[in-house]
Amino acid sequence: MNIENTKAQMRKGILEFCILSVLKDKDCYTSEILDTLKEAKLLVVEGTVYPLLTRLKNDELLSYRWEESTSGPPRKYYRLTELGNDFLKELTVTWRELSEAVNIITNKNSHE
Amino acid sequence: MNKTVTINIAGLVFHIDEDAYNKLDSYIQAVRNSIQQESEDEIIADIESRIAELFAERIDPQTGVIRMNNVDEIINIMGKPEDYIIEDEPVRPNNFTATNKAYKKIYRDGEKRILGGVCSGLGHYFNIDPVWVRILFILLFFAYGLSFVIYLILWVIIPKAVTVADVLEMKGEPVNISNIEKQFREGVSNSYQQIRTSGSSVANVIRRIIGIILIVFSVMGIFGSFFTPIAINSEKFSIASEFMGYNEAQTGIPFWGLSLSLFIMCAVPFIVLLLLGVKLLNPKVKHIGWVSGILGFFWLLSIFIFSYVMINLDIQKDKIESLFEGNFDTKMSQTDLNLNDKDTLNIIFQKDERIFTINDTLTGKHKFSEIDDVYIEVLESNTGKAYMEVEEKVFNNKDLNLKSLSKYNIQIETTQFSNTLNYNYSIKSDTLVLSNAILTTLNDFTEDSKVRVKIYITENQHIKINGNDRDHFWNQSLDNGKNFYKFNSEGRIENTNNTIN
Repeated sequence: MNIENTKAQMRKGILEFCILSVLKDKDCYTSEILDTLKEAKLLVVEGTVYPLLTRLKNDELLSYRWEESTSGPPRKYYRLTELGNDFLKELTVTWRELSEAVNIITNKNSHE
Repeated sequence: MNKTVTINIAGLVFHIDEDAYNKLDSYIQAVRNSIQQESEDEIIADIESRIAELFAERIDPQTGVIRMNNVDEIINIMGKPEDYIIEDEPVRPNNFTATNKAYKKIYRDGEKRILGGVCSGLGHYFNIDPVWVRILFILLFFAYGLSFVIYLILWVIIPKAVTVADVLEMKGEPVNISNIEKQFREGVSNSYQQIRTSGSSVANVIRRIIGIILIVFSVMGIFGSFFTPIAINSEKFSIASEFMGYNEAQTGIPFWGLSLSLFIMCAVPFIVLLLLGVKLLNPKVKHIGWVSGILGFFWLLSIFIFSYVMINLDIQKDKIESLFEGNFDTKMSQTDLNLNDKDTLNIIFQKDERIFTINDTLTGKHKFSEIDDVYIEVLESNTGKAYMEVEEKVFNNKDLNLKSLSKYNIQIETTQFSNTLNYNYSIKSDTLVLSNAILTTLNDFTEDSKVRVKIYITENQHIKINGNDRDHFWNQSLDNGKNFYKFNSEGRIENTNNTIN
């Protein structure tokens, strides 16, 4: 099994959750989302994000508006919809449970 | 040196080196292939918009041109086409190779095309040499032009392979970055790219269409030329033919030589047209000039041989004819026609019934003269009664110079016709039935008319002829489609508008 593939798949799995989290407090345009994710080293290549954003938008978790930019092409500003908000809350709970579970398991194993 | 193209991404205009552009274009195509879902246009638009943003940050302020390294950098940031795939199942590593799996799509191959690249595209798709596809199409062309129609339809509905991704799909290779890069290294993309810009000009297509028409036409011509030797070989045994009893010794050219030169005479112009058609399709073909030159030489040679033989045959014929000169008896007979005043004489031509009983080949002792050997004239009678005269020239060999004839390999048949007329006619009340030919001996080599029929009618009598029989009345002005004639006051025969006055 290719380690890079596994890593990428793990990241992809939580990527949706993270995108929604980035948009929790303020609306962002695509590059801002990307920058935040990259800063957190969650994202290696940007390509993965575009189909995800479109899917989230199609599932009505996100909506967007266009805004002019002075330095480049017009920007797509994404914001969470109500549905997205609910979805995020649920995911947050799941994530806490998951990370606790993973922590317990990995810590327990490292102690042994 | 590098050509620069101007592109518009997400509404921003960039100048980009051509090779960098080709790579970017292929990349976007590959990404599109990876995504393969309903909203791919939207996703691609987002991606392009991001690429435009990244370009704007990276553009060299000095030159203002996007270079290959910029594109490489962007591809690094954006990730491989595989990275764009989102899976519903987070961990499915096996499916991860999906884009590495090759699948084939049918495209027209613009690089190896002759006309529209349909055949070479089909060749790629079915993994066979496009030559076979082309041969099939050419063969089917003879089925009422079926393949021509099919070709045009395929030309319209099959897209042309333009990008490197298309080319890979056409060849059934996986569309991934490594293969695309390989294609770039091999310079494939550039040639396909050039096709997109220059190769599809209308003039080029017309040139190729003309080339194909020339090839089809000339192949048919060459095929047809094979029939010329067959034709004169069968003529050789036909009694009316120029080549009957062809004598090699007389001309020095064997009969097969004559056949061959006739074939070359017919085929060479078509071969040259064929070469021209090939040249139009593939301008790289060389040596057509001197090949045509050599063919031209043989063509002139064959024309020379053929003319030489034909002139020789004619001279020979003239000589033989002069030997026969004067060796004729002229026989005359006069018959009354049973016509009253103001009656109409009905003249009908009929095939001599004996023609069915006498074998029309060299083995028969007699032959029929040609139709123009029978010559009919209508004259005004001075006696107040209608009558007819038949004057027949009969071959007589009593004074023939047999010694000079033997030079021409001519055997004289001893058979002679009787002293009665050989020309067949009958009179039934007001109808005169004339034979349209006359039996002569095989030895009759002359071209003179053999029979003269003079019909005398009074000024009050009419004749009626069939419009098709006008040709037998050589020196008389009969009108096409007019059947009834009589003499006018000036003694000239004149039609009476198909009615009897």
